[in-house]
Amino acid sequence: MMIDRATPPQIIEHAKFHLPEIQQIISARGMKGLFIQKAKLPMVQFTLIVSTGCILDEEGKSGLANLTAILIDEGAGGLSALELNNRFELLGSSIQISINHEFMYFTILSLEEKFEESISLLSKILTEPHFEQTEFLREKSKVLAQLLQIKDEPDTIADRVFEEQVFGAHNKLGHFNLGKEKDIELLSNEDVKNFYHSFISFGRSGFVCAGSLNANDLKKFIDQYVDSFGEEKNVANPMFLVPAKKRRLFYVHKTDAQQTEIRIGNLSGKRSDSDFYAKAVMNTILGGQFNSRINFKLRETKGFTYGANSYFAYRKEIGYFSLTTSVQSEHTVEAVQDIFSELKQIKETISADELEAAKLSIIRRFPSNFETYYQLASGLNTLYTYDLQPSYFDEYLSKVQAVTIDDALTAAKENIKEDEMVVVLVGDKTQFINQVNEFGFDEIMEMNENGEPLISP
Amino acid sequence: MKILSLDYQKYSLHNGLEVILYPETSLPITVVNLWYNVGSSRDSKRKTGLAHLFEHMMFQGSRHVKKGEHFKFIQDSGGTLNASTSFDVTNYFEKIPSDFLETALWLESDRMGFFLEALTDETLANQIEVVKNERLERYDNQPYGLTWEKVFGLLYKETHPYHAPTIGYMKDILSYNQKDVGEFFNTYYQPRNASVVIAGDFEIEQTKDLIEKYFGEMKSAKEVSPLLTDAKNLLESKSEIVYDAVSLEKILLVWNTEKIFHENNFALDILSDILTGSKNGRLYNILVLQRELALQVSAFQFSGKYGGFFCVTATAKPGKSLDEIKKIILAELDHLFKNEITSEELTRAKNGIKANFIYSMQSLDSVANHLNHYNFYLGEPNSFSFELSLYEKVEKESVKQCALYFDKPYVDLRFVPKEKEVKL
Repeated sequence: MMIDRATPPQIIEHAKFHLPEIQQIISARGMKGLFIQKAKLPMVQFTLIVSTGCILDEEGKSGLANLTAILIDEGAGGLSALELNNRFELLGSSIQISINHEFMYFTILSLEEKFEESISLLSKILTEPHFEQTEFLREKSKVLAQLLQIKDEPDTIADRVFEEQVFGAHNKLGHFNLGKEKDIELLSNEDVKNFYHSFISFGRSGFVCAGSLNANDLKKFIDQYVDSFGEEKNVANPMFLVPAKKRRLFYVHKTDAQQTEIRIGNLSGKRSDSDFYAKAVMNTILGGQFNSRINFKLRETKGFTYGANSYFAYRKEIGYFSLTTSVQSEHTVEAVQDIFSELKQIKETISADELEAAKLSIIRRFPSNFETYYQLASGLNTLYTYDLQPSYFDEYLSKVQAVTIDDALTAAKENIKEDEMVVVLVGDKTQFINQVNEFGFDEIMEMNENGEPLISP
Repeated sequence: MKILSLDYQKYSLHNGLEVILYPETSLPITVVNLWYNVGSSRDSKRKTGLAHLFEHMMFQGSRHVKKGEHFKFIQDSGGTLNASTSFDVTNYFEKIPSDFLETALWLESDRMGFFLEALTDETLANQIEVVKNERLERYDNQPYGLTWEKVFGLLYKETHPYHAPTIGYMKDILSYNQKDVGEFFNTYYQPRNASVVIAGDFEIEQTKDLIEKYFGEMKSAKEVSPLLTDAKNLLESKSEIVYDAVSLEKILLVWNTEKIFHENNFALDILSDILTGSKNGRLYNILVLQRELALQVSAFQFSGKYGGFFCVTATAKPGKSLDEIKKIILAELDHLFKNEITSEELTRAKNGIKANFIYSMQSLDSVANHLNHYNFYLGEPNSFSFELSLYEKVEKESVKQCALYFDKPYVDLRFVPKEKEVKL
């Protein structure tokens, strides 16, 4: 039987998605957490979140928060680093400790039957870290070696320079979390202990969890194992200075590089701003997915790149817009011109079809954000981090649906700011240096691979 | 274990397309995962990378689907999609809201049956540029980016199907023409050379009808002839130093082992865990923690349809010697094979593997891909429990018996900062 392939299948949508129930749990001593129970597999994804990040590194001590996060599970509660690791491994569980600018995360992935033993080990890490000198010296030297390694990675250099410059050199929200070599060299184990005592405590913490266990058991484990650790100290978060509103270009020269890493963007509003949905829809059209305007032009039409995408990233009280790609060196200038032209265009025209397609894409994708235990816990982490209302997910679809063309155009105009644009190019400067002057930058600065200016401003 | 045993159906269409259906209705999501039995192992010597380039071309449109529309249909439906090429197979998938299953089947069948009619010089030239950029971005312009190209080049002779990198050499990438692409399609992209998994929220009988509707009319051309391989192991050890834009030196030691699902592979996986699976891994412990010679060390077993290898790789800390690191790696391997492996080492590895099997069942894409994987290599899609049981059977002695692979010739590949190159 021959079928009509020329007409795409007519789809009638009837699938219903029921949001999982989000439970708020408050521990005996008042620590707040969010929980989704999911019975599908006998497992638990749990994260303890401490409001402590690299912004708390003092001047001259960059890298300290990161080093503390690395060292905190290198021996604790009478168990050496190896014994502690051995205990987790025998359970088939894992503990991961990570840090960003504002938060430190202790994440346990475990089978349900092993969760209590796993969280009891976390308790040792939080309350009785050893911070021994041998471990300190070894891990410090590893971070220094890592810094050396990163100098070879053009993509990491571009990300680093972009974040540092978009927030401004004096704003810790953009600082490179690994720290500066000269600062790390001077850090001592006492600094690490002080950081732990000052900034890692129960009072700064909350948790998110998705798992097959029930809420009562989770609360029982929280009360028993992580409801009291660290010393409470009142420390004011640092003030953040944003850079002057200028159009700035930073480049890092890599001799004979065959590609140029490009980052373009500017500071924008915070996660809880009401135009979040309009920005999401607008960015879906601009650079959020494969078929978006920028990837389609740079990859599918011109063949300059393997891929290009744009996104909004957030800290607690501020965010930024960024576009990232890597293009063949000889096409650097044309690619930057194309990107600028798309950034201009998105403020001027969005068609009804584009708007509808972007909205439907976001709305229809919504259920797939609730599939894995990791995704559930990440969703809860978003609520926790940005202090969003528990009704956030309930209202999400109607708010996306309500975005109009005007909303999306306004979101583009207000959040993509040509006069504050930071452009970072990492590649062979001979391929672009003569032409970039024509782009009308207020400042052009060559940087080294550590993100420092080669010539003083 | 019950959660690792999946209730599925498998059958074939009259044209040979294998169909595997796994209903799982906890969310309104469905995955279509299509494997073609062709990978870079089929690339000819002067056209390396063609299987991978072809994967790109499959997104450039077919008779009823214009360039860019495949992505557009799936993304507008709220779905995600991708594809990948390996030595053995090429894999395409769509993950869509379940109402859009028919859209995904329409798209996949159109390019399986009617790809050639949309092939133009323009789309080919565009994707050659994209793949060229992929190669620059992921390999040529990355520190240590040529690692695997070098390893496979040294470990396997030119006649071996795994000798050349899947992405292809740059001169070959730039040389493809429409005839190459057309012949490749006609030979390999036919129903009898593929298997499709549908996993997720769908109704079985209705889906069988849809699969028949969209794929049933396709004809299979002549059968793909088996790949005749010259898959001999190394006869003598080989070494190479690559002077690269790197700051830290790196060493890779690579031994031939076995093809996929050989019984020794499970012991080799556990061996890799004992060596470098965690801080307690023997090599990690001595090289990174005690002696502080390396920034990182890892060991793993790779295997495919036509060969396998075991690799130990370490990145030296500044100023530390790769020779010394190598000496320790070889001594530790020797010590491990001649002495006791502890029960704790074995239990640790097995518990981690068992937990990972359970964790891997969280995502429908992963489950669907595993069903195709097991079907392709074992002929039985539901082999989760079987594979886990092979790990559980591994004993201390079976790990020690892996010694037989390590007294044979091997590859010693090093990356050294280019400033150290002494030009004669």
